[in-house]
Amino acid sequence: MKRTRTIRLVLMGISPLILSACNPSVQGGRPQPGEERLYPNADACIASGDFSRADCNAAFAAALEEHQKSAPSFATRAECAQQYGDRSCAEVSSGASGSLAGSEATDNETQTSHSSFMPFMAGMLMGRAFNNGYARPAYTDSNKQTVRPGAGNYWSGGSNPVRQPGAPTSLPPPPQGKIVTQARSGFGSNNTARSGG
Amino acid sequence: MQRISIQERPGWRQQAAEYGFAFHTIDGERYWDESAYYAFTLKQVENDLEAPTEELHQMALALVDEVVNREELLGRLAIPSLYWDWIRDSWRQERTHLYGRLDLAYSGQGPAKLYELNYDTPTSLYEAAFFQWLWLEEQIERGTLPAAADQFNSLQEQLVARLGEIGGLLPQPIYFSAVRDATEDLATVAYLRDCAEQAGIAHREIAIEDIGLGSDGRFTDLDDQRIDSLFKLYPLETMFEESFGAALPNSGVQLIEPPWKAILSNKGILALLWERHQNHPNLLRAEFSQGPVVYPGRVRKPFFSREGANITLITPQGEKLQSPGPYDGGPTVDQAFHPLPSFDGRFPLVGSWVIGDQAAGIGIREDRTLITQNSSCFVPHAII
Repeated sequence: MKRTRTIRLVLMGISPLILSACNPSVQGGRPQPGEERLYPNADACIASGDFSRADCNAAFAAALEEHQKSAPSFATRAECAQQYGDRSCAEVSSGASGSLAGSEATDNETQTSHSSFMPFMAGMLMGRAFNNGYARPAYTDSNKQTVRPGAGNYWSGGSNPVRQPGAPTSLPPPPQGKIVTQARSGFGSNNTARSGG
Repeated sequence: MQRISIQERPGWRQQAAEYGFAFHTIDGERYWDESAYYAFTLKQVENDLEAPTEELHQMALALVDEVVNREELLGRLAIPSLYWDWIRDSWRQERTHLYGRLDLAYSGQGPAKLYELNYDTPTSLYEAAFFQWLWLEEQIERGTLPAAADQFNSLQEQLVARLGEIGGLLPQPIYFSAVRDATEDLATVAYLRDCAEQAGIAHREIAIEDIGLGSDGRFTDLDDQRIDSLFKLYPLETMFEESFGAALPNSGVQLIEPPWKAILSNKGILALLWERHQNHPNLLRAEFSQGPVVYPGRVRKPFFSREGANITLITPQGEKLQSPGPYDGGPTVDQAFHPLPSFDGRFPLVGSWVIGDQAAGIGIREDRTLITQNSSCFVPHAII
């Protein structure tokens, strides 16, 4: 195959997107940087052999933490169901966090001002990032055909750090401190120059 | 290689809108055109495009190694001497180049011919790497293309991997910068930031116009934070001429593309490449222009032109074609006339991408004339 196996956008566009190439034979082997794989739970991740047991567990914990922190929240079940499917939404009361196995509320249950609806976490998307791992919760789409990723959360390499060969062991220090800017607009005067070619 | 008409995906315009491809139509004219695609065989892709791309890339790098050490060549390429040491130093450091695009004339038969290198600010990246990929996947899913159809396009995968490597070599965050109101460039920058995010590196955005110069000679962002690493989708040679240009060498800023790319974004190197590799199957004869007359069978290109601007083309029969543009008056190079192939009256130009040092995919733009300009359409491709 001469094309990218899995493609995603996390910042561009109105909602995150993840897609895999049609040919399922490309699965297998260590995930490449930038490639994410979907696992329903930590056990499935361990069973795949893609990552170590410790990494699978750490990633799942990171995804769950992110889910509890930032799962999409809706005022009504209908709004949640529209995006994530009828049977994929759980009611959570205010102050409580979204739950992986949250019990489904019945349709005739009264909505009170302190409850909201969140999609169940259907699994986790996990990938290698630069010198740690990257995991995020995954939700089913309303048509059950695609996966909608949630926000991401890094987990450190654990017992089996995922690291590219030759990469430094830590990131360079961030830039320090403010300095006095004396002038701006010293670049860009020729805005027909643009890019391209 | 064939040009084949194909049904458009019904929802592609909405999809384009949702995923940041605002420039699929430019000034009311179609830019993304999926009413047809170019079909290649795997052999054509691997033997005629991928392998020559990597070979030409290596020839280009060898040329940089020679030019940085020979001041008469830096002078011949009209690079201001103020920047020579800085360019040379950047070549001797760890290399942090991200990408480049070679423009190839290819008909499906015979060797592809190098028109030029776009190694500083290449665009049409998002549509080649992402939207073209989506097109193929969805056409396979719809059954419009066979399940075994493929595409020469590992661009996104390799961009993410390469940005991860660069992020390990440069201070973070990396600032991504383009001209404030340039829709297409801003989309390219947004796409690269997305890839940077996926690579796990810290990134910020700043308009080229907003970059500040601090009292200590360093560049700053709008919060007066120092800019240590800057990806700029803005030509190096333009920066050289601007008021902050002289501050570049001592600012400590690490640029992507790095300063040595000023050599490869310069069309004068077409003449230098030809001098060193005469009769190479993928090169067209080229020499530095002598005098104002362009002879039949020659194409005159400014050293610093972009987007097919200011090209003068004289066919062997003496017919003259000229494209307008803002790059008049500078030094030029004359290249042998080798017309683009014609498919149904369209002239496709193959943009062959190099990420890091690897050939990673192609994108095809076609025009109704022999000079490919920024009004050309982007047409997807498949390996069948």
